[in-house]
Amino acid sequence: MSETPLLSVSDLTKHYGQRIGCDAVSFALWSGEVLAVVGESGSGKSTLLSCLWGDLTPTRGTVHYSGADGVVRDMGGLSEAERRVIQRTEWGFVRQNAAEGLRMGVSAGGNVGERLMAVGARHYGAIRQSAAEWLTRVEIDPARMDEAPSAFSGGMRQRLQIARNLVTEPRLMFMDEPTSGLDVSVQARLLDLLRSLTRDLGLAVIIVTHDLGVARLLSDRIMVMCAGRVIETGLTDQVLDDPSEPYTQLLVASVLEVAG
Amino acid sequence: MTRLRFEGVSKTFVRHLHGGASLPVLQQATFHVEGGECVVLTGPSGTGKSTLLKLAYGNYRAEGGRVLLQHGDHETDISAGDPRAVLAARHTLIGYVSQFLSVIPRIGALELVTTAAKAAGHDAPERCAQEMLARLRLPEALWPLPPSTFSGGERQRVNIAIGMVGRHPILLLDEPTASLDKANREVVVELVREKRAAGAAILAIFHDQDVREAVATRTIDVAAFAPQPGVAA
Repeated sequence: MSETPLLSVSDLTKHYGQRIGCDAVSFALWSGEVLAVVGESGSGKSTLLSCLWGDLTPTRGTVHYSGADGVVRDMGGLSEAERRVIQRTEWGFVRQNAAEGLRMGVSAGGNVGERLMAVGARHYGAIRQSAAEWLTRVEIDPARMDEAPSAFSGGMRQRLQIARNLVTEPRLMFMDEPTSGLDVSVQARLLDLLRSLTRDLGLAVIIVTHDLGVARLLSDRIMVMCAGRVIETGLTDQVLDDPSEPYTQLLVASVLEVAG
Repeated sequence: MTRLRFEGVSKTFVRHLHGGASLPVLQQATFHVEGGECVVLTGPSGTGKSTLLKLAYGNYRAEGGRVLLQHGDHETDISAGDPRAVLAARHTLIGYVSQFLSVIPRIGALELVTTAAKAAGHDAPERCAQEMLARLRLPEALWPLPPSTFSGGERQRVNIAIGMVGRHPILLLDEPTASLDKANREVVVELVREKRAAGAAILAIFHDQDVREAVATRTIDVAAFAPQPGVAA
């Protein structure tokens, strides 16, 4: 329990002029842990995710990542090239809109193989084989690997995006509302897949969602954000079953209960 | 040996959406459960029986007092709410059978129980899961199916199987027999006795008097922990 956290975040803050994106966020994430960041639109959860990933430069605060080589890096101090290497190998990002996370003009197999080539794989047959395996794992028929993602349904595109990320066996995945915009039945299938993959692979995940059901199903811990600040944090079932902050109580009370 | 100890535990729910209404449920709850005991909580609905179990599982936070789990020479205060400590305790120390099974969309009953048996370190987890489901008389045709389509009693039995294949030294049972027929209630009685014989400390709520009489080594009336008007928690 005392080992180094995979990710240590301290006082991470992003201001857009006068407006607060996220303010003084601090937390630690350990290997194999799934952390959900919940809150309504505009609560700052996507800004936080972008600051962690490196799309946005924070106004202040630090993100330290403990790499597979055991070296702890201050992500804000890395060069663009050094950061990209980590993003392509040890990290992954599943975007809400699959079209942003995929190359829509490249075949499904190419989308998966590309990340492997980026880490030095050169043998065409081996890359194709690996792509086929990952497509199967995310329940896409490998017979369709030469089709472009534009021919795929929303749920399939999302699963392809997951395969593209997982092929390099990352240690930390960022997910931004990966299931929103999908039909409920497609959502359930994707959630179930994410749940088994994170468990089987021992992945650490930071998932941003406005859906408390998604948080409950997938995450160990939860962070509730409101107006850019973290207002409540703890074990997922504890925060959702015994919320203490007024805003968290409002969020929990706003979920429709469907008799099971 | 004492496995579970409540020391002066208080719990008040504050409902911010209803004018900050303060609902005190428990005050100064102090008791313990030894290995080999099955302590049954009694008292009318709404007096905090389930709340005590949820505090022991780290599902609710306590405002005052401590909930201590004993393991070897160490104690974990699960009410302190450190997420990693709670998760570790749930993995190795404390099992919980609730009234309701939280259903995962596409996972079959046998797989759910096998996963629990695997986590408990059984050598042949699938066989162990099959034996448990057979004992609880869940029709074999249902084993591969996800419990989302099951009846209340069938789900309940999957839930009991998950809790009972574990090897947690502390076991919390929240009305596990509520939707079971007599034959199945008797199976649960046998399982609870076996757990006790194996040294587990059990804290339970049972509404059926026959089950209660068959398994309880001691009862605690939760009314003793009711908040007194005018006394600060």
